[in-house]
Parts: sequence; structure tokens; C-alpha cells
Amino acid sequence: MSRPADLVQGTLDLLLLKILALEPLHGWAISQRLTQVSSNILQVSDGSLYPALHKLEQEGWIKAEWKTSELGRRAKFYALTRLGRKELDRQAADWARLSTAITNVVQLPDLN
Amino acid sequence: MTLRPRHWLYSIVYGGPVWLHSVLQRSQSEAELDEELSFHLERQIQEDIDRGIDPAEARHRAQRGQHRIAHVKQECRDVRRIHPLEDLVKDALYAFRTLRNAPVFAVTAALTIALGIGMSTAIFSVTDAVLLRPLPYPDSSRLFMALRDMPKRGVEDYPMSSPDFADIRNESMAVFEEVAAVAIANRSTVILKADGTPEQVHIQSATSDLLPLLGAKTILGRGFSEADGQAGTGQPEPAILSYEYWQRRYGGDQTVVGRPIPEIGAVVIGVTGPGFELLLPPRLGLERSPDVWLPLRVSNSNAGRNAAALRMIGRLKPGMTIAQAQPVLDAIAAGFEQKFAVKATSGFAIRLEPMRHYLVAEVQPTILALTGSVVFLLLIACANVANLLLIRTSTREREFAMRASLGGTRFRLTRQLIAEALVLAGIGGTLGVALAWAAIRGVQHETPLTPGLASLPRLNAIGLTGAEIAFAVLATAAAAVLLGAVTAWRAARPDVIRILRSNGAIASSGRGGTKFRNAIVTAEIALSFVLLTGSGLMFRSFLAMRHIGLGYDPRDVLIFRMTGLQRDARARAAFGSELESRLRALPEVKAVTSSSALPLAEGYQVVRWGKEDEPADTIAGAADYQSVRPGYFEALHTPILEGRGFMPEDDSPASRVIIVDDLLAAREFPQESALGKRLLVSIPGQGPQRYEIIGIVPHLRNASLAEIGREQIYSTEALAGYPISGYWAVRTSGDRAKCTAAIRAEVEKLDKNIAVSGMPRMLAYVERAESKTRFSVLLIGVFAAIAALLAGLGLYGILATMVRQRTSEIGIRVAMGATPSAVFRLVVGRGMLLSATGLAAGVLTSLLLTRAMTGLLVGVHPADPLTFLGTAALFLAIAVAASWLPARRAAALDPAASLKE
Repeated sequence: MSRPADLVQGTLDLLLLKILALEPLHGWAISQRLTQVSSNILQVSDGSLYPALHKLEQEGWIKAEWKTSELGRRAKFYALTRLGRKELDRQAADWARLSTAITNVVQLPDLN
Repeated sequence: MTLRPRHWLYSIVYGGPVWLHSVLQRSQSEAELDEELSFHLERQIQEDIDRGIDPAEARHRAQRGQHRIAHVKQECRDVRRIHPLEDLVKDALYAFRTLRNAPVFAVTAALTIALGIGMSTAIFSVTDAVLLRPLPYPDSSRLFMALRDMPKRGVEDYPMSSPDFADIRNESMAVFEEVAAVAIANRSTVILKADGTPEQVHIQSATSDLLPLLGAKTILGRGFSEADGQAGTGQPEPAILSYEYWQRRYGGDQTVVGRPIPEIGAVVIGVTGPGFELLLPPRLGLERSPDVWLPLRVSNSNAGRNAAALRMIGRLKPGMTIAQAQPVLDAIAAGFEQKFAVKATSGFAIRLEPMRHYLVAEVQPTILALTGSVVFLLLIACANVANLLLIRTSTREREFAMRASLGGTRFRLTRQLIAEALVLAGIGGTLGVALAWAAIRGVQHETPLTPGLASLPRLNAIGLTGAEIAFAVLATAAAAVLLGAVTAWRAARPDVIRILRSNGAIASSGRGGTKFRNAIVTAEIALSFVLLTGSGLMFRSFLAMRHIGLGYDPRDVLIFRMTGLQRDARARAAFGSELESRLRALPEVKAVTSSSALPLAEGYQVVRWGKEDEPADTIAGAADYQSVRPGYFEALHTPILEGRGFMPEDDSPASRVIIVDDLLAAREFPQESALGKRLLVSIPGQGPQRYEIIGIVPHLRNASLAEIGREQIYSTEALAGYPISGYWAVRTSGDRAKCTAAIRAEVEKLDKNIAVSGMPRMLAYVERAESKTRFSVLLIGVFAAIAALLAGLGLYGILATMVRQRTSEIGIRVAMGATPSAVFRLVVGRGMLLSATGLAAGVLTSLLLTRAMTGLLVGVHPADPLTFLGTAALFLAIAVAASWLPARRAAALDPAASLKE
């Protein structure tokens, strides 16, 4: 099981932005969705999730809104902002370059 | 991620409101955080139950979850940057506690800062009110004085004549929006109050447009009209009362308009708004708040073409600059020189000067010098406190090292030190504002310590306003940042292992720290040296001024003036003789005389003079002229260098004799005695005539003690038609109040209609002339003394710390055979080295800066060697004194004990 601490530094932001790009969600749903779409590989603890969400909100990349959740209780839903969309594109592109580069290096055939 | 400016901008724009929400609506934001996280927790529990986990285990997990949530919340707050505010408060409280444990240090540091901030705020309030704030007139930035100079005679700002003003006004319409003039002399007369007691009332004449030009409001009746300014209607003069006089004399009576004022042949037509002031330099002798305004008649007649009558004020048209306007006035002046021969010989120029600058030009150098000194003082105070803080951090190194080893980050330590500096600066700043407040009050209420301040223009505008508070806050903040940065930089990098291992017997706090403190003390010595030289130069000027022979003895001489004298010159002459003999008969009176002008008072007229055989139209010498009563020089104890003084028989309109000063005699007759020679002099009312020099007297400083001034010519009163406004001088012995009463009684016995002015001592004029310098000497002296004391303390602190830190080293030296005197020399030598470095820097800085003081200095060069050497010697003495105690302590160290330590 991969813990967020094992995530490459800074990728949590990217993951959160990406998940919120699909639809506005509250914190719990975000963590569930992340586990689900990564086939249980990526899990994020509440201790990392909420500070990260608050930081993204502070940056102006996501905005929060109190709405009624599926169970009828009030919950804080986060949604991507226009600025967040740009940031997502930028970070996704960075990630793509970085991961390609790493993959290329890792896949170099051994000499012997 | 690279720093992108846009990113920061967006953060503020988008994140700002979120942050504000967290900070300002703290409780709501906290509640939301709570709700968000407990929602999460509940879902977690629900999930666990749904998954069929044992309920006991689920509850256990939930409990752990609660714990975790507290931690998560803190992290969220951290992200929102609420945290630093809270921490700052915590740090400040902690700083308070630490400072309370070191009361001597805390009190010394806070008081030093208070002194620096207080003094600089007080001086800033003067600078602000006098130099920075605009005049309280509408569009005051466009108000200019149009001053008349006589370049060929070296006379500046000589009053214009009425016809000149009329012509200039007509010809300069292209540059001025509005133009007005004030009469050069204000009258004062005695008017009975409502209860019948007499009261001195100040009357100022001005052209009808002056009050509107300066934005005076008319709250009752009307202002002057164009017609009021026309000459000779035979009607009573229209008078406008000041609000204050209206309240005082008429009790604010609404029906005052139309009321006659028989004493001055006028009738009230209006009342101005409260607080209106005529702000012109005090040297002009005009009343700042006249009680009654009369219209000044402007005549076009050529008869008064050469009289000195008024000064011109104008408001430039919007968008017009002085650079555009001055050439226009130059052209007008050139036209005058062509039209009038007299103006061509004297030179005629019209010079625009901003009204505010005209008002403050005289005091500006003093105020700037004071501002400079006080900035130095503030710097020295900060340096001293920084030094104290450094010494204190050096003694706390173990504490910091301990905290660092226990996981205190460098950031936390730095923050703690900055908090201490902030608290110190905050306390100091608050005390400083209180000090400034007290100082300003002291300045406004003239005390024996602050003589002559009353002549400061706009004195009553000085106060603690928003600008002053802002200044104090900024200065405090700057001090806090400076102090915090200095200490944090030094202390937040403790070499943990070395310090903790060293078991307390640490040799020194590291070379870097010592060097840094030495640098601060050196700078402090340099700064205070500059202040001390400045104050030394001022003091030398003051002494020099005292040594200038006045040429008369102002002690025990009372001065008075009279109004309401007879209109007929012969009647005045008879009255004068009668008054003189009556006063002389008084037992307290030793001598009596009168003159149209007195040194350091006002009243001098500038007359033209030339060689005996010059054409009358082209004589171009300019001299101060006064007409005096026979016996004038004898009464004032002015020595007659050659020839004789005026005799009673000289006092006739037909007499053609004058007395000149030695300056004129030496200039005109360098090789021979001027006695018996003749000069062509244009005495007012007489036209150019030839006069014989019958006496030579010393040159007197008429306008100011600092300037030599023009040559001087004296004639008898008969030639001047027995001036209607002159000074009487009475040399008395005995009680001043008794003399004053006796003189007043004599005048009243002679003529009940004559009002006698206040009776100042002649010495008061001398004191007033000295006061500008005396005040600067006093203030800069106080600053310099404080600075020297602080520098001495700083040096002492450094050396004492050095001795303490090098105790074991000194112990080794003594054990190895160093004598106590060698140790003594080591410490004193160290102090001397620091002082010498500081002095060298100080001398260089002083040489650069004292040149700016030239305008304030009298009879002493800005680089006066005596002052510089004296100050340096004084400083070395201070350095020796500051080194003495630590050196004694070092020399007395018991080697065994110090090594054990």
C-alpha cells in the first residue's frame, strides 16, 4: 500500500486538482475517489488531505462551498476554479514530462 | 516550482479573502473546520461499520481519529497562516517575561529608545509644522512674494512704493491671478475697552484684495471693496475687525457693523472668521493677528515713487511656474530702470519667492541642523540598544544553544529575539511619544530654557498630529526591525556543540560577535563625535557673538514708543524737549534720548549716499539711516571715536551735519580722517544734500548679530522732521516697575492723548537676537551630551563584556607574569583603539557635514581646528573614563580564581 508520504513530492496537489476537475466533491468523497480510481494504490490520510485542500483553497485554485451531501448532511464541497484549471494543466504537463523521463531512465537496458 | 509574480498576485487576489475570512471571522472559520473534519470522521466510522468491523474496534479507531483531528486542524490553521499571529502574541508574552527577569537591561534599553524616539518626534513636529505643512491659505502653493531688490546697492527685499506697486500690478496681469499688498508698518493705538480701560490695538493696512487672497472669511458685514481702496473720499475709513477683537471688545455683538471707531476715524464694515493670521517673517515686525484691518490706498501719483510703503503678494495663475513668471517680472523691472534714473542707479529687480519659503527662510537652517542632529541621536540610541542586546545575547548563548539542541529551529529562535526587540521598541516608542508630547508642550509655553521660540513662525501649528504619530510609529518600527535583525543575525546561529561542551568557561563569544559589537561602538563614537563637533561649533559661534562689541550698553535701558503724538512737527519737537527734561528730572533716570531706530529693533531706513561732487541722480551707496536726539551716543554709552556727538544747536532744519560709522569712514576715506569731509546724502524729505561729517562712531550691528550689515549715517531729528514714530531710550537705575510707572506718569501729565507702548529692556532686543543661536546651541548641546553619554556607556559595555569573557585569558596572562598595570593597559588600550577608529570616522563625517551649518555659524569656520581638537580630546577622556572600571577589574583579577572560573 502506498502512503501519501511515499508520493512524489507535490503530486498530491496534482491528484486533488485532477479529481476535482471531474466534479466538485467533499473531502471524504475525494479520498474515496482517489482510492477508487487508483485501484487502491493511492491512499491519502485525513492528516494530509485537509491541509492540502486548505492550501489549494488559499492559493485560489479551488473554491469551497457548503452544500447538502448525499446523506442529507451539510458538507464542504470543493470545486476547481479557472485558475485551478490552468494550474492543473501546467502540473499535469510537468508530471508527464517528469514521469516519461523517469520511465525512460528506469527502462534503460542493463549492460550485462 | 519557480516564483512567478503572477502566481503571487493571484494568491493574494483569490487567497486573500479566504485568509481574511480565517483571520477576521475566526470563530466561524473554526466552526467550519470543525464541521468539515467531524463530517469526515463520521463517514469513516460509518464506513468501518458498513465493512463489518467490530464495533469496539470502530470506537477505538474513532477515538484515535479525534486525537488526529486536533492535529489536522492545527495543520490546516498553519496552512491558512493564522498561526503566526497567535505565535507572535505568545512570543511577545514570553519576551515580556524574559525582560522582566532583566529589569536593568530592559529599563535602560527602553529609556534609551524612548529618548531617541521622543526627541526625534518632537523635532519632527517642528520640522513638520514649520517646513513641511503648507500655509493655511487656499492654493497656498501658488502664493508668491514679489520682492523688490536693489542689486546695485546690495539691498534685498526693500519695500515697494505705492505707485510702483500699482504699475507692477497692472503690468503683471499675465502671470498673476490675484495680487495684493500689505503695508510695511502696522500701527498700534490705544482704544478704550467697553469698561473704559485702555487697550493697545494693532491695526494693519492692506489693499482691499489681501483678505480674499489669503482666504479670510467674512462672517459679518462685508469685505473691502474696490472703492474702499480709492484715495481721499473724506469719509471715515472702513474697518474690518478680527473675530478675536470682535469677541473681546464687542462681545460678539451682531450689530457691530456700522459702529464708528472714533479713535482711528473708522467705521466697522465687517468681521473676519476666527483664527485668521498674517504669516510673514517675524523680522518684519508685523502683528500676526491684527485686531483691525484698514484699506491701504494705492496711489498712482509719482510723488511717493521712492517711498518704502508696502510688500506685494500674488497668486500665480494655475499652471504658471516661477520659471515662466520670473522673466515677465524681470522685463517689468527693466522697464522701471529705464523710466526712473534713481532706480537705474540702485538697480531694480522684482524677485518671486514662494510665500512659505519667505516665511521660514530665516529659521530653515536651524531647523534642518536640529533635524540632522536628532536623526544622529536616534541612530546612536539604536546602536546603543543594539549593543546592549548583543551583550545580552552573548550571555544567553547557552540558553539558545540548549533550546537549539532541544529542537528549537533557527526560525523560532530568531522570532523570539525579534519579539523581544519589538517589545522593547514598543515600550520605548510609547514612552517616546509621551516624551515628545511633553517636549512640544514645553516648546509652546515659553520657558527660561526656550527663549526666542516665540519668534518661530507657525509655532502654534506645532503639535502631535497624525503625521507626528506616524513618524514615531515608523521610527519605532525601524528601530525594532534594526534591533531584531542585528541580534537575530548574531544569536540564531549558535555553535551548539562548542558552546554546550565548553562547560561555561567559554573564552569568548566568537570573533565574529566581538567584531560586530566593536563595529557598532565605533559607529556610535563616530556619530556622537559629529554631534559634539556640531554643538561645539554652535557654542563657539555663540561665544563669538557674545564677544562682538555691541558698541552700546543695553543694560538698565528701557525702551518705549508712543502713539497719538501731535501732527505738527514743531509741536512734536517741543513735546520731545519737554519730555526729555522731565524724564531726566526723575531720580531713577540717568539719561534719556530718542531715535527713529534702535539697533536690533526696527526702524532703519536705507538712504543713498555718495561723494560730495557726484551727480545727485547717480549716488549709489546704501546706508542705514537714523535721526537721533542730541546726546544720543552719550546716553547709550556709544564711544565717539573721532570728533563730537550732536549738540542741541545742531538740532535745526538748517544744520548740515551728520555722524557716520567707522565702516563708512574707512571705506570712503581709507587714507585720511573722515572728520570735516563732506558727503552727498539723500535724507528722506530733504532730497540729496551735502553734509559735513562731525563725528565718527563704531559700527553697530543693527539687523542681526550675525551679519555686519550696511554702513550707518546719523542726523539730528530736525532734519527728519521729528519722526512721528520713534523710540525713546531711558537709562535707569533701580526698580524697573517703579521706573516704568514714573515714565508713564510723566507722559500722561504732559499729554493725556498719548499712549505709551510696553516698556521692554534694551537688553531684551540683544537677547532676542542671540536667542536663535542660543536655542540651537542649547538643543544641539543637549543632544550631543546625550550622545556622548550613550557612546561612553556603549564603550563601557563592550569593555566590561570583554573583561568578563576573557577572564581566564587574563588569568593566564597574570599567571605567566603580566603585571596588573600591563593588564590595565591591555583593556584601556582596547578602549582607546576603538575610540580612535571611531574618532577618525567621526572627523571625516564631521568635515563633510558641518559645512552644511555655515549659515548658522558666526565668526567660526565649519572646520574650526580648535573645536575638532577639543571634541577629540573630550572623547578620548570619555573613552578613558569608560575603560577605567573594566580595566581596574581586570587588573585586580586573582589569577587562581579566574583560571578556576
